[in-house]
Amino acid sequence: MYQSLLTNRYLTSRVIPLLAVAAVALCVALVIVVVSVMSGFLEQFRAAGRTLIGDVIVHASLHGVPYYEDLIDRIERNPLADSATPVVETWGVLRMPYDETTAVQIWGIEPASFDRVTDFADTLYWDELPKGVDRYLRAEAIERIGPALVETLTFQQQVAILLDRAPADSDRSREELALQVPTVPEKDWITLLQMLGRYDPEQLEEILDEHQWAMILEADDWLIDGANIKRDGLAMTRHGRPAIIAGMHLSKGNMRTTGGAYEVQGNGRWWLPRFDGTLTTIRVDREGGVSDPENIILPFANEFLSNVRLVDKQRVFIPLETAQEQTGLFEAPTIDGGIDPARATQVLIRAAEGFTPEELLAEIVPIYEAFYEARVNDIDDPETFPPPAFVTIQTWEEMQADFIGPVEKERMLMWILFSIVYIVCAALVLAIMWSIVQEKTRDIGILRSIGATRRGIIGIYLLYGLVIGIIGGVLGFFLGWLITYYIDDIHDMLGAPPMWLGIALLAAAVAVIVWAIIRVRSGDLLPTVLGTFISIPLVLLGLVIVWAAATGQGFVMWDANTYYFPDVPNSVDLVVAFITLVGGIVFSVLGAFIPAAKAADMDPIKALRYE
Amino acid sequence: MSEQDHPILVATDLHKTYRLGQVDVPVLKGASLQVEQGEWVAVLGSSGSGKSTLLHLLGDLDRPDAGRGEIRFKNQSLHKHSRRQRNAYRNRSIGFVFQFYHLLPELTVLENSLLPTMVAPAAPGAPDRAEGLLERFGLGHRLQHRPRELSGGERQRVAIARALVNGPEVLLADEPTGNLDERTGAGILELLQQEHEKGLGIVMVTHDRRIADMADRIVELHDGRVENAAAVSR
Ligand SMILES: Nc1ncnc2c1ncn2[C@@H]1O[C@H](COP(=O)(O)OP(=O)(O)OP(=O)(O)O)[C@@H](O)[C@H]1O
Ligand SMILES: [Mg+2]
Repeated sequence: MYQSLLTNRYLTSRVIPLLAVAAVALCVALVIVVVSVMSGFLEQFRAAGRTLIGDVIVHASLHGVPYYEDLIDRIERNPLADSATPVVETWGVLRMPYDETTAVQIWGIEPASFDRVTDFADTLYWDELPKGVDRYLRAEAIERIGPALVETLTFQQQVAILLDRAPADSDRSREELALQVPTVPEKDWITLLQMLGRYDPEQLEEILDEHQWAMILEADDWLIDGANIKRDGLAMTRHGRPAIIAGMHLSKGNMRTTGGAYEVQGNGRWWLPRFDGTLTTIRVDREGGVSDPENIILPFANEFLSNVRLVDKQRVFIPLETAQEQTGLFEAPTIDGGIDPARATQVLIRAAEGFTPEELLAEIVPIYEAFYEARVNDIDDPETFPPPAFVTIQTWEEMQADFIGPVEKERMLMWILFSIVYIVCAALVLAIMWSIVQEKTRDIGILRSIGATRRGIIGIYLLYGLVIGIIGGVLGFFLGWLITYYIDDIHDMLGAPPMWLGIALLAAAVAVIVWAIIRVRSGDLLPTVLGTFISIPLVLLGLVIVWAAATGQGFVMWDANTYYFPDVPNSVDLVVAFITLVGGIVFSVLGAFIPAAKAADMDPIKALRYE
Repeated sequence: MSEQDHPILVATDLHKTYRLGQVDVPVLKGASLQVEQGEWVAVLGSSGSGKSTLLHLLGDLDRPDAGRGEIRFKNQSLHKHSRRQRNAYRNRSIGFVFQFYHLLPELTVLENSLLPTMVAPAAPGAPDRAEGLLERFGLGHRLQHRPRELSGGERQRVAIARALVNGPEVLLADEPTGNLDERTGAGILELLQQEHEKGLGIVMVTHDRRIADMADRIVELHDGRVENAAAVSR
């Protein structure tokens, strides 16, 4: 087998094939990284469309669906359905604490079942107090229990409080202050305690006894344990009152940072969950008339982040009953002594493990039909029971078509871009292999002149291209996989470049320069040229990194503010990776084959003359 | 020299025209040549007269203009050969020595000389012959060297060993000493002389009258035709 002998020698006695291997590897890695990150991004985006709506949605507008608990029972009995939850949807205006109003989409939900269908709990943003908030909460807690707390204050404590609040340059003595104590009204004591609680909690804790301090904490258990915020969010209550969970982007107090986390403006001051909000809804009654606007004041219990901009910007959740009351969909006695059942405008359903939304949808339609047949006559006014034809039952994808449509178009665009990247890479590999083999035309002439068959010659170069393609492809595969897998770390490193990297680069530059100087003295030109070309970018890059590390600047390419997802997607698309690997091999082989076949087809003397 | 009914290699009325852009450059215009079995023919001619071209045609490394001329080897017409026969002809029947050696730089001396035995089923005894030839050519200690480590004369000897390894009947040599100094050239010619004495037919292109004088017969290529020069008796 002279083919393997020659292939082996070609590969081992020259540098060019190593460059070809490197080129193939880089091309394969490039395609894998680009495709994986981009398609991961689109996948995240698409998945976001499913957030907070379940798999299948039963939608009945205006009157809502009566006896929805029964419908949910019927649905949950179907093995394809995992769970279902009622929703009352309406629109309203929310007055924010900083005196601004904003139009909101209001969803009344049962948090527990809503969580089973949509993993709502995972979207609750706060599971601890943000920085700086505790001061405000403490002041508010003191206000809430003010008179009771003041009553427990001892004379000594009162003197201490006055002493603490007295201006620093005041020269009034302790005795003078003590004389003043009886003249201070209860209201002022509360204010003094609040100010202490807000600006000097350590001092306050020192003045108060354990019991008094505990009174304050118990007035707001968020002060005891930040995890209670999550609990209240899940229960949708605050101090026992029904509460609002607002979308993360409703409040101007939340600022998204580049890392994807949120900071509360005003050092905690504008943290929405410490306020109440006023919801104004307009009830549309069952005859379609409009009644006066209704106001309801509700505290905020938490905020949620679904990463769907539209939802995070305009949705608030409130407890189902509250929403039913606001919209008139609550259970009510009728004029003739019957009972008009409570209603839900939507039922969201989650498919059981292993079933697609489409499969579930096919089950839900007949369930609703049967439900309608069974219950329509239970109601006083059957007109208000929406028949199947008036109920929209859709999968989440159908429902979010407006949202997903552009994503799908994006995907098309992306594939076109990929194809271009792919073609460019393929052309590059092709060109490199082509020129390497072209250069071997004379060898082919020699082999032909001593009687080698064309097939034998093509065998050499197929093997050659194959080996380069396989080595390069496999290296590229792993390189691409590694880069993709660690892309977040790489990105973080770019965001905060480590000093050692800059120093290492500078050190490398120094080493190259020293090498060049040593070699220059021997009179060679190449080391000077190479040394200059290699050391200049090393020095520049090193300096930039050192500067960035020293000043705390970073290079943020994936700004979570823009992309809405905190992390760069890092799952390797294995199918694409494999196709790319195979593509790398195919184009290496093709690049070797074509010029080899061309040369083998020539009369040997033409190949020998080939320049 | 053995008596033979047929000449081993007969070229009749060869035409070869190169096309340079729009212009046809006729190089061979009816060249004919006969080589008897075991005969050494020297081809003289001025530079550019088409000596190499003629030799390439004889070695089937190139083909005459379509339908204008015929080459017969052992009374068989080359242009009727199948691809396989052409490969076998180049591999076995003739050996070709180029002016510029044309060795594969990645292979060792031994591998280069063995190449004809590797690219096609080897002639019996060929692999052993390679080492023997190299030994006789004074390269026995350089078998594992690469061509770039050899001098011009040594390279040409490797090329000759390669040409002879499959035991061809005719050696086609294109100025085998053209790049070499006189003494080295003489060494090469000595080797050829030895092979010739063992019955190898040789067609050798040269400018050099003195080298041509070693041949049994000298022909001259002039104006695209072969003209007999004075036959040399030995
Ligand atoms: N492939 C080619 N294309 C065009 N012209 C060619 C080609 N090969 C040879 N020629 C021309 O044909 C003529 C004969 O070339 P050839 O190499 O046979 O000459 P030669 O007698 O061997 O010369 P030299 O003694 O210099 O080697 C020259 O004029 C050359 O330029
Ligand atoms: Mg010539």
